[in-house]
Amino acid sequence: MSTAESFPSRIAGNRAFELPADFLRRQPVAAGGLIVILLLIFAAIFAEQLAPYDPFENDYGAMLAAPSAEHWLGTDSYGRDILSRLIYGTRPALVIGFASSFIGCSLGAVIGTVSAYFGGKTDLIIMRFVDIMLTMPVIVTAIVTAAVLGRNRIGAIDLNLVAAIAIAVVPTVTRVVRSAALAIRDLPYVDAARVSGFSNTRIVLRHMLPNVAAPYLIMLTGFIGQAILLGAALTYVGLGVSEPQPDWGLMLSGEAANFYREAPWMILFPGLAVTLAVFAFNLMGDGLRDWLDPKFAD
Amino acid sequence: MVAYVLKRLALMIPTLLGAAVLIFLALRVIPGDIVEVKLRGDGAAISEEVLQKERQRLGLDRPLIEQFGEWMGGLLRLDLGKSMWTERPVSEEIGSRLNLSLHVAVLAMIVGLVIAIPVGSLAALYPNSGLDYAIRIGTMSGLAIPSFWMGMLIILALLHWANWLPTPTFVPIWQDPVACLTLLIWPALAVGFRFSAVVARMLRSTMVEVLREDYIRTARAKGTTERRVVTRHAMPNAMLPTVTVVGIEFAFLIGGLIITEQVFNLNGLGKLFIEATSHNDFVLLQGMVMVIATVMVLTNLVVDLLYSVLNPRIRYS
Amino acid sequence: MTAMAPIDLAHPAAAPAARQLLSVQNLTVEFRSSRGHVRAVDDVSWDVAPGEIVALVGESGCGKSATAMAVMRLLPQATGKVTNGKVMFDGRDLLKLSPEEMRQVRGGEIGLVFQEPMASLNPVRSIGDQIMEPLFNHRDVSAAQARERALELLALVGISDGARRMAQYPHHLSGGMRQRVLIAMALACDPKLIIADEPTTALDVTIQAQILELMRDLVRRLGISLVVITHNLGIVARYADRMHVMYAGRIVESGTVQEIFSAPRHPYTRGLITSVPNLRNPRIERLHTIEGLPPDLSRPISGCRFAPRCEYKVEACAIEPPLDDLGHAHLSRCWRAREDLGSLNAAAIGQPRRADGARPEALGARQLQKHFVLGRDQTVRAVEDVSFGVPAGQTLGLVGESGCGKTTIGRMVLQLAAPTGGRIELEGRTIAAPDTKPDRTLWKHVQVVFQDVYSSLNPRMSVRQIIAEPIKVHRVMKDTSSTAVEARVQELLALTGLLPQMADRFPHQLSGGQRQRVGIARALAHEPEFIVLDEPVSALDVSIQGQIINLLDDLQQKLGLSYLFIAHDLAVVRHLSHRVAVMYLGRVMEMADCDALFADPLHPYTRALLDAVPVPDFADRERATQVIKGEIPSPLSPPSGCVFRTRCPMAVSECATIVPQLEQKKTGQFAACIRI
Repeated sequence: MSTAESFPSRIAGNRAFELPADFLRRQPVAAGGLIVILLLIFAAIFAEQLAPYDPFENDYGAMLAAPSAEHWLGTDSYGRDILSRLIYGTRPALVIGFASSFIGCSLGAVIGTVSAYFGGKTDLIIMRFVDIMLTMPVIVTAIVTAAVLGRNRIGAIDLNLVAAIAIAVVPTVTRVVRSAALAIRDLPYVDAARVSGFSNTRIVLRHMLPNVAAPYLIMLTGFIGQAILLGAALTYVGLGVSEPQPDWGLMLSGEAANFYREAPWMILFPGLAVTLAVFAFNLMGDGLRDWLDPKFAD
Repeated sequence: MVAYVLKRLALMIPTLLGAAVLIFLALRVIPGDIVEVKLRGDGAAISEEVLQKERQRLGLDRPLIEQFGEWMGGLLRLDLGKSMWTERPVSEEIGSRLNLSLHVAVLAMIVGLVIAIPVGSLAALYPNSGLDYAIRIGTMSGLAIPSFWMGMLIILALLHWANWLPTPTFVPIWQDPVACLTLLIWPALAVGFRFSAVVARMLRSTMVEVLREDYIRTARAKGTTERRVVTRHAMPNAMLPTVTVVGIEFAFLIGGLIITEQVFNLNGLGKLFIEATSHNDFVLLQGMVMVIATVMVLTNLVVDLLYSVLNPRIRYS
Repeated sequence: MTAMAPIDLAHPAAAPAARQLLSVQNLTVEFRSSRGHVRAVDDVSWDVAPGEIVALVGESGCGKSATAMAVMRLLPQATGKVTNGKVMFDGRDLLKLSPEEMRQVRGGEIGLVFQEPMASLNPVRSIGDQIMEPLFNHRDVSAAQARERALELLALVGISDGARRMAQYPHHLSGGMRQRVLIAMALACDPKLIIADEPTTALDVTIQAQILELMRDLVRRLGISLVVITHNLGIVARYADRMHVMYAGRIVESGTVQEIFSAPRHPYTRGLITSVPNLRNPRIERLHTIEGLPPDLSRPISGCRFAPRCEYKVEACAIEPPLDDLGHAHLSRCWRAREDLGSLNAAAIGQPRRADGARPEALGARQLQKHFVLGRDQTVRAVEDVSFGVPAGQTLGLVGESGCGKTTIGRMVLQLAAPTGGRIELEGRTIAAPDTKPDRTLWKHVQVVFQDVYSSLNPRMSVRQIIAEPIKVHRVMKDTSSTAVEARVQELLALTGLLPQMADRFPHQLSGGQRQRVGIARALAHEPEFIVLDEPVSALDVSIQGQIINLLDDLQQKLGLSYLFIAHDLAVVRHLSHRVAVMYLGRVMEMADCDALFADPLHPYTRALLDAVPVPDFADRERATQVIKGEIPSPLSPPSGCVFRTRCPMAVSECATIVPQLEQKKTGQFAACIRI
């Protein structure tokens, strides 16, 4: 199969409103992931209305209470309602996931495409740097970056946490997008654009970037889940969100790590929430990949 | 082959040098001061003069370029310096813990492969069957479950069903295999679960793709039994991208380890790494990053060599 | 409804089955796809007698390969299914065998040879392993016996030093060699029948001839029956005994090769024969092509499937005709099969094709050279000392096999690659030389049409955007208002034979031929004087090829365009070119006016090429072919002296030392050979 075929030609011709319908029809499993994602977004927007308790409110009368009619998912060591904290926790999870994945993937996509188009020394230097970054596990890069940047909070969201995760995913994305762009660079339609005497900017913007959209979109979705996981891991080792914010990662660490053997519900539900969210985004990413890859079309 | 390995080993040097420069520069930008954290940690009132003296003793008041020169010079002598926190040599701090962490890493990889290879192949052989869907859902959860949470669940399960937890005293496998395995198999499971999921997914998708190749049709046209088609024709080809993924995933495995060691209270590299971060102990951090980078680069070399053994199209001479 | 098509009582399937080795009866194959069920093979019957060579002919999607896969029960399990019919082989219905019994048939009694020999061999297993495998599958042999047999097979298919080859892997072998290995594998267990699916499509013409001669000689000698599946009528005419022409899942005509080529009884067969230029016949002025496209098999079809494209259509065609027996086992699915539809050679003979000396030179190459340095001591000599001129308003054909450098020359003309020596001139002005900067305004004069119709159009742009982009960006017209641009786009669509509503389509919504028309329209939008045509028809089906060739011819006459026509198909080159340069391993072997070159080829390579091309004409069988031996050497280490000497029947010892210069051997006819 020629390289041209590995790009989403099927998508190009349809009108915008037909696309979601086509996606749902062809990828019903991924649609399940989409529903979970929409529910999470809904919970994040309407947390005030949905949560039965104030997530910050300490109820010293009901510390470490097991799930009951009053507290459906129990309470933590400060007597805070776990369900309410879970609902509010969708906010940092989604924001950190979306923001860091978007920033990381977009940076990677631009660097990768530019590197591939210009080739030569530019490419060599960029890829050398990427290789060096890739000698480090993503989480090590994220931990070091988070430690270097310190904290810079706006509300419940730590901007530096977002930056740390974003920076950690850039090398991987750069790699993938660069190889996709390299394949496109040598396709006849890019040659034809050169023969047409178009400028480099026009060729990159009009003829190459739209055609790396597929790998970009797939990675964007996939990395949202990874970013949520990374965020939770960083929080677990004390570099992410800090008390008393309602955050899933936080609900798995600190006090929870000390008490979970006696009160398993403290970690059971937040862990499930993380898993479910990451699962949904991965499902969506996989569905997108299959949908955009004509090998799976028929 | 030997010439190729030597060439690759030589090529490691610029990469590791780059990593050394990068980590040195990154760490010097860290806000916060180890001296302050160390001496004023408990809110004790320490005079600025004492702090200054301590900085001088640790060489923190010298120009960056000098500090860098010292760090590089040390690296060339394989001397990673002294921890700024405990003041013990970094190589000593790392040495004892590296052993434990590598134990868990290798164990996790073995556990992962033992699960992944049969599971991935089974799913590929019956694509879109109930079994395939079950395996796909299982492996996808493997990607979604945080490894440290998995660790907590394992501990809960051990407490619940066995009412027992291993004592976190590490013994190398060559001294006491039973004691070693009863301690380390649990974190290895927690970390290896994700690894197995990734490898199984990769194996499944490459197998499905390989089974559609023309040469598989040729094998069938020769009257080859379906079992031989899979084991002799499809498997060797499907292993190629899988080997690459094993190499890439090793990085994630180390990453998962750093976090999961905390859950099991193991005194490995991960714990040391987190401590070094919270103490702003750059010398130790630098040293550890270099050690991790070296392990990663060596792993990539092993993966590439394995790849060339499996793939006759690539022969290093 | 097509599903209820009548079973033809007159069909020879009713004849005594004992005579036939293989008898496919009323076979129907369906594929499941996102567009619904596609009936790729619809009630197809044919058979093969012992020792016979039978050809299944048709264009892509006609169901010829699906038929063969159904016979072998190798259809993709998830999507393909035989819904009706029998496959009788040696008295058994293959479709009713247990999987284990069928496995014994595959490779044991029926051998299979595929196209794409690289993809069809397992890249990580040795050649020896793969040749011995069928023996282990079907015969009770020891490793030593299998090895001995494998060596014997390699010798049989013309591979010398078999012992060394056995230890090698597919990537060590050339394309022709791999195809020989595939044939050896198919022969391993002395099968009664071999099915070959497009066995030579991926190969160069001289190698193709070697493989086809080998296959024919082997099956004749060993008494094996052969089914060849191909789109190439030349191969059928030269090698097959009987043929079945398929169209849209149906057999439309069956009979002996001699009958069908002398008097085809179905308009589609007639169209196939007349839409490709024929090297043995006088050059005709204009190809007689089949217009339109084959039907979409996922939709119900009523009436004759070919009727929408048929020039002989009558009212009766609204009902599908049966496969009618015309005697001598000649069958045709046409209501007018018994009528005389006129001679095949009715087309007007073409004007002589020669370079017009009075015309100025549009483009010229002077001692052009291109070396690619791959590393120490590794230089690909892609183009070496090539000079030619393209007369304004005419066509220079650049022809040769893979690795001859023709595409590299095209890329240098287009400034997609820089020459390492010599220069290219456009109307006397140097546009490419090692030390000149690329000319940013070359687009005004030189444009391109590429081979790969699937990747030569940006998949994210509509046809309108693709054609309008250069007009808007470069302000090709004075008036760049959207109405003026739209008018120009419509004008270009009409000029290239596309409907106005095609402007809104995206490339994936077009057929191959339509895409190529859009590619031509895009080139014309720049209003160039010169177009590089890089294999513009070789990716297209035969009936579509003819349409594009005629279009290019018309455009040249209408717009006075000059073409550099790069191709490997000699017949097409002869049809379109005024002057022809034959290339081999980076050098020009012979250059002459078109008619002169084809009437009297001087260079032994040109003669070998012409000799190797199978021609769709039964009379061509009588021609004794002189297949040239050996493989094309690697351009990394071309032979010393004359690059062709290693395969040349006329080579003498001097050829190894003297690099022959292109010299005039006859008036206007140049050849690079010291022996003429």
